[in-house]
Amino acid sequence: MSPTPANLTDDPGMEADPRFLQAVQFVLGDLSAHEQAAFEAALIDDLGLCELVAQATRLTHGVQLALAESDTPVVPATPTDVRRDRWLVAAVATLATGVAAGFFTTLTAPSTPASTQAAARLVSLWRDAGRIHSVAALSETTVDAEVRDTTGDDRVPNWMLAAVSLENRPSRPPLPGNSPAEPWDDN
Amino acid sequence: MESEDSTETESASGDATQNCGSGTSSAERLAPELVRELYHQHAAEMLAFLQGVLRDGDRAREALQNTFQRMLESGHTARLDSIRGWLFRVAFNEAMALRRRQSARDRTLQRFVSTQPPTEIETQLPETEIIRAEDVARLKEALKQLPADQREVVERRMHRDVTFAQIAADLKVPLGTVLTRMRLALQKLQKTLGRPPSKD
Repeated sequence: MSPTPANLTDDPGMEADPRFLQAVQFVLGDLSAHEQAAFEAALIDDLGLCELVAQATRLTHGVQLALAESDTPVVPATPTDVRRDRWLVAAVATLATGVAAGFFTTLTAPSTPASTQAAARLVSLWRDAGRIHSVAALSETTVDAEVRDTTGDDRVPNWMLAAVSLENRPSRPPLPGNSPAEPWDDN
Repeated sequence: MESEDSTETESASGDATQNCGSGTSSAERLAPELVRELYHQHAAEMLAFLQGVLRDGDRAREALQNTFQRMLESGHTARLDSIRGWLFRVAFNEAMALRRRQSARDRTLQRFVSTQPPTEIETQLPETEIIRAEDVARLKEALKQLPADQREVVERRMHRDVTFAQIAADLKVPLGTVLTRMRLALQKLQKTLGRPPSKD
């Protein structure tokens, strides 16, 4: 008769029943058909082996529970979740593309050499006008308004930038006595 | 089938002069209170044994109920000092009978049987678990104490259901090494496991 499970568990110095691994394999279904038949035939008359099977089942069940509790629960994604995630990703990507395209378009507004030269000339004239006060065509009210429109002395007012951009548009006949180039055309 | 099982049970009962009862009449059957007490003492271990044999919790419980039903009917033929061995033997016979019946029974009959009302002992005996929560907690701690290579084998085989051969292939070690790690781990875990749940 093999040692009882109580002896196996209570006496740490005692060698465990070598059949315990086989009992665990029997419980787990690892034995071949031939091995299983032989094992079950031995169970009929061997109380110790029956006890080993009971203990192997408890140990296997307990270890499986312990390992399952140790695991972090992972919720598998359902097909519905996957579809919803795909729509979300597509919507975010579309929105991001639109924002990026708008920002890029703003930064890369068409600029011609003529407009660049006119802008440089306007900036230069504006600085000079601020120093020597020789802008006869500008009324004092207009100057005050433009000063309020700027936050620094050397800043270019918005109306001037607007004028530069208008200059690049298809030409149209200037209003008599009100040509935008006249006040600064000191040459 | 039933008569064959009964014959096996009777033959396993031992010397009639030292049996729990001396006759076979219903008046000399074991008292239900004694059967209940024996159930509390041995049901968890029997259930674990049956679950190991049948690898099916529901069928194991059915075999357990049949075993104690048999004890109620003919337990008086068993010797008190060997009642545990008698129970294991009857339980094994019930498991084998259940397995044979299941393989032979057609689906219609199986549905019919499953709708039958429970027997008296099924309604009276409490639910049994094969392992206590505190044993699981101890096993959890013991698993943490295992060497990494042993724990890996235990986890792969018992939790992820990977075969020993596949574990050996994955870890690139001989199958014998995997089995040795498993055996060493089982020895340590076995010492952690308490006695089967019972009232005494």
